[in-house]
Amino acid sequence: MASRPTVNVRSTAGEATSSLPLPAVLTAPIRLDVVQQVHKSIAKNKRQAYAVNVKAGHQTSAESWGTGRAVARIPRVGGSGTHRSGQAAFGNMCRGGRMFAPTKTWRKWHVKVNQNQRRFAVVSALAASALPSLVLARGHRIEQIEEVPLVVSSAVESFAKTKEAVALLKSLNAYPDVLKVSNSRKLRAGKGKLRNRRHRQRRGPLVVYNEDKGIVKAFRNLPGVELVNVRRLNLLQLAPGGHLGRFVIWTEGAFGLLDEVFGTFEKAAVYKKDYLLPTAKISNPDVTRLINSSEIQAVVRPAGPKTQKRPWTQKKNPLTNKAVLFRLNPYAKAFRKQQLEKKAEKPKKVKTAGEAFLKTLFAP
Amino acid sequence: MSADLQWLLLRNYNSFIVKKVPEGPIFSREPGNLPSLHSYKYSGLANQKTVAVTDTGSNIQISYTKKGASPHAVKPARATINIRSRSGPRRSLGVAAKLSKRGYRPDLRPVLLARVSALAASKKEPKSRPVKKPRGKKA
Repeated sequence: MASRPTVNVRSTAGEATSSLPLPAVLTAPIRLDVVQQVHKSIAKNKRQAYAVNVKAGHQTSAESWGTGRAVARIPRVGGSGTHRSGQAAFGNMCRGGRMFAPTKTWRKWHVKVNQNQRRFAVVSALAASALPSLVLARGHRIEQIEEVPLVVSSAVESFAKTKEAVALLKSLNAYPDVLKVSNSRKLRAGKGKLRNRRHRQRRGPLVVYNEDKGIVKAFRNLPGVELVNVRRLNLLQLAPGGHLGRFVIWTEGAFGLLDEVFGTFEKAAVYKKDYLLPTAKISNPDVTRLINSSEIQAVVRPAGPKTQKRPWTQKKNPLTNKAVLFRLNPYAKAFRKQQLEKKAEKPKKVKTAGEAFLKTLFAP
Repeated sequence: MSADLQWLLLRNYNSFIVKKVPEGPIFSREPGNLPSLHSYKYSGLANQKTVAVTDTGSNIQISYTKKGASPHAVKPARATINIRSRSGPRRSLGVAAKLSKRGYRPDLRPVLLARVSALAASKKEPKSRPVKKPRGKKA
């Protein structure tokens, strides 16, 4: 990357004022497989344990009646005077019995992920957020936005009123994404409704800032909008559901700090010790350009005709059709000729009648 | 990032895929996809040069990505041609074909014309037919 392309920084009114060079993170390799695997593991870290009661199903003193009583040999509750006496107990198949393999709280709920893998995933997710096709594919309504990545001047960080925040989003043409979220708010299906997860809605833009001078309070009441400091970027927010391409709105300070937070391909990061950005396995992923490059075109054989002509319309069997046989095997013609000549050479044995026969024939 | 790489990232999941027909064709609801089929050739997201045909109330709008646009630009990268709604199919197709004729995605020419003509046909007023006289028992 000889010269970095520049990204326009927009003022709070929406027009481009200054520009910043594109940080190296946004050109890092995009590895969907790494992101999906790391996201799957990291998403498990916020789980709360669940288990059945340890005593469940065992709070009886049931004993098997043994054989000879015309009943199955399952342990049965002793005593009398209640419906429960004589009922089966303890088994996973019994009513009121313990379940098969009672769930335990010491199940491994959290998954440890290597630090470098976690960073690789975040870097990939950031690079994906800089491609408009991926952000559109994820479902964000950014058709009217000027460019991606969207950078706003640092004056945003001192916003105090949500009204200012809405005005900013509208001037950037980013408000349709917020509208999408508020229009998608619905009651959740299922028991989650009663478990403090009553509604579900889409995700809106992610606002990344450098210093919180009021911006969090200004934006936090907008539905779907999330805020995060650039030093603490979270994969669960950059690639929700393991899907790349979250719509990110950067402040100028945060955008400029990215080169220090993640480093470049040659220079180590300041905020991550000895960390260099991962390099791609293929430096040029454009197959069309590779094919048309001079190195490959120099060794490629000339192209065939655009539409292949049929060599024949009717296949003829060389074993029966002499013309086809001679076309396929030129020697066969000479060989056949040889055979015919040999046959012609052999003198025809004329069978003349014998002496005794003629005598008998012409006998008087 | 190259179009091939973007297609590999988008082909398995994106919010525009429609798979309503079981064991049937996979459709795509992207605006830039002319036959609405989910494939690399017709993808309106992965390719650098895309053509989108939409029907705003008053015109048929053909929007295409500009040649020299930066890969990061979204709105300024598109140029639009508007075809007035009442101009018939012959004129609409002529305007649409000009894009392919000057070499912009010539491989999309048949689907581009098909879509434009479908939109133009929908603008035509339906023929007035004579009222059907009831026959037989209903008379």
